[in-house]
Amino acid sequence: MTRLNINNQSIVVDVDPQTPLLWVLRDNLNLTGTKYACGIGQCGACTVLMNGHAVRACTTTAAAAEGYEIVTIEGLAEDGRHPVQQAWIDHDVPQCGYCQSGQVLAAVALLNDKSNPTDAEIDAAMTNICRCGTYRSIREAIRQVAIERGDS
Amino acid sequence: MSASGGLLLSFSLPVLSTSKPWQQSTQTATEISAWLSIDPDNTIIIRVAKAEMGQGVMTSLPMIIAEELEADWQQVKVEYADASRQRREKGVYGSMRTVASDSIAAGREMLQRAGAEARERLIKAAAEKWRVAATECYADYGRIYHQGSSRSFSFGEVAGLAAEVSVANVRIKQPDDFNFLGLPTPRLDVPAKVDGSATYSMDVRLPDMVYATVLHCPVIGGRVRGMRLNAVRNMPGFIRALRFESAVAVVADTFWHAKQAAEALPVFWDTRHAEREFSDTIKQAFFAEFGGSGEVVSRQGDIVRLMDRADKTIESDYFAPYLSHAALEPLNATVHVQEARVDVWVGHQDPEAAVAAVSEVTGIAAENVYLHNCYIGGGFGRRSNTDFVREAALIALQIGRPVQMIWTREEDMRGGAYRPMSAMRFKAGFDLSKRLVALTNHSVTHSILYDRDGAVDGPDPSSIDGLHNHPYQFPAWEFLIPARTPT
Repeated sequence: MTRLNINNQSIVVDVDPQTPLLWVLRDNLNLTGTKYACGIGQCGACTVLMNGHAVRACTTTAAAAEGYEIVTIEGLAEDGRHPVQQAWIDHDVPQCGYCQSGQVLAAVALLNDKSNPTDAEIDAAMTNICRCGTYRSIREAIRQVAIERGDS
Repeated sequence: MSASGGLLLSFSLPVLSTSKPWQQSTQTATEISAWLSIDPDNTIIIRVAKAEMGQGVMTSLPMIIAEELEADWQQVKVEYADASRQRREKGVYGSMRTVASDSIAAGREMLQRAGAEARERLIKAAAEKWRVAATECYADYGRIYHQGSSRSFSFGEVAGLAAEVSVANVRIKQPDDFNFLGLPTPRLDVPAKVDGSATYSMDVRLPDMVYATVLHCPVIGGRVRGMRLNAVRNMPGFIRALRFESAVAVVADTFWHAKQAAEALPVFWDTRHAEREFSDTIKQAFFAEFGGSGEVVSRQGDIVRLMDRADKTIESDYFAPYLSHAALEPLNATVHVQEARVDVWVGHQDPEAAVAAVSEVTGIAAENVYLHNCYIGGGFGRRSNTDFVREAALIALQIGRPVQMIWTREEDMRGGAYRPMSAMRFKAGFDLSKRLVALTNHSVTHSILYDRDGAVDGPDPSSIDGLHNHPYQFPAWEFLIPARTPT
């Protein structure tokens, strides 16, 4: 039995502790917002937050995730309108959308760490792959959040 | 379902976005036509008959209808058109195949007519209620108005009567008259794609559902010779391994368990009659074709003389290898084969072909195959093929329960239907003013149509598109393909 803290809830799951967190989320808990795209930690579609840091759930076991505060895309904001999500909407960022759960959470982690990231810092942190090529919109949306935060 | 304490979604935008785009919401709404229904509260439900994969059709195509309808866009809600209805009503939605980037170009007039006809019927209904001439009435922003009096109806108030009247010879707007089309408009699927609620086919969850993954022979044309089930029989969650001609499907209670078992299962392949060519040898054969005389597909002017007399010539070879479409969402489909019915949840670019394919492999009549189209995590043409849907249906046929078949990323990259290899040799001749006077091209590629349909009469148009039908003005050209297309 593995105890996980997901979206502010403590949940006990009956899984082999070596099961990747991605599949615990998707198949055991029906939290399907976190996506499977490569399974080898290379694309970032499976990104979740663990204690505020961007982590790739496909290469993180349930055992390794114990004790952390895990946030999935579903738990980012109750109304689905975290400032990063709002910026994504304002800039019409997603195309097919499959990578965007991971992109949003990676951006949240970046902005938690650096409130006004430079282009180089955005490049270094936002390594998630987008097959549709929304990178430019992602950058503009991140800049918007940084600007808005700077104003308040 | 969710262990996250129930996510409350409240949108500040009045335009609703939908997480399950296949769900039909015609319970309380009055249907005006196959394209749209109107709720008593004036919500206008517009149906989209193309597949949304990030190109925006879920928004742009309803916008076209809304423009003619004179709808208030804030009251529009969209859902997918039903492929079963398309079949029952003999193609009422035009082509439901989303390919070739032609959804707007090929569909605009049809959609304008659908919106215009609905508008005129609403006007006619209002006019009848007021006992005035329809020509004295007009539509604007979701309401019908009578010129010269202060009377108006909302669309919802006359929808019931509009459903029963008909109109003929409705004219559509010219682009100069567009009020709404052309204005920057937020795409309707965006909110669901940033909050995690957008349902892709891999996200479908059904009671009693199991998961499958597939191992295909790594060599094209190879077959399964055998497998050692004992190696996986007792693995956690393992249910069954199904042997097909050139692939093995592993079924388990979760995808992770299926993937683990698939990786542990020894499968022996028979490659005696498999493909013997490699990409390198095929490439060499392609370039060797440039030495041949080829077959002319288009010739204009005195190409030999003009090229010979050109002040300057440039010659260059171009090459594209086989390319995997590499959509971020690996190919997958969820199928439930029941006694006299099949339900399919898949993100697909060609729902009608998918329905026909599932009918073919299950033996259940197409009328009883229901396809629920999901969001697509990248199509790029790959999701217009039916191969992976057939596989899922074949597995589900044997399992009986709903089966979600997911190809691993590795299987997806290797999983065929690549963009064809292509080689071209261009030569261009320019005059003293640097104007193009002569162009030759020798083009070698595989025929997509031959691959899909098995026979092509003459050159595959998709192989020479842009060459024989180019729009440019210059005096002479000659375009060649190999005299015998390599297969």
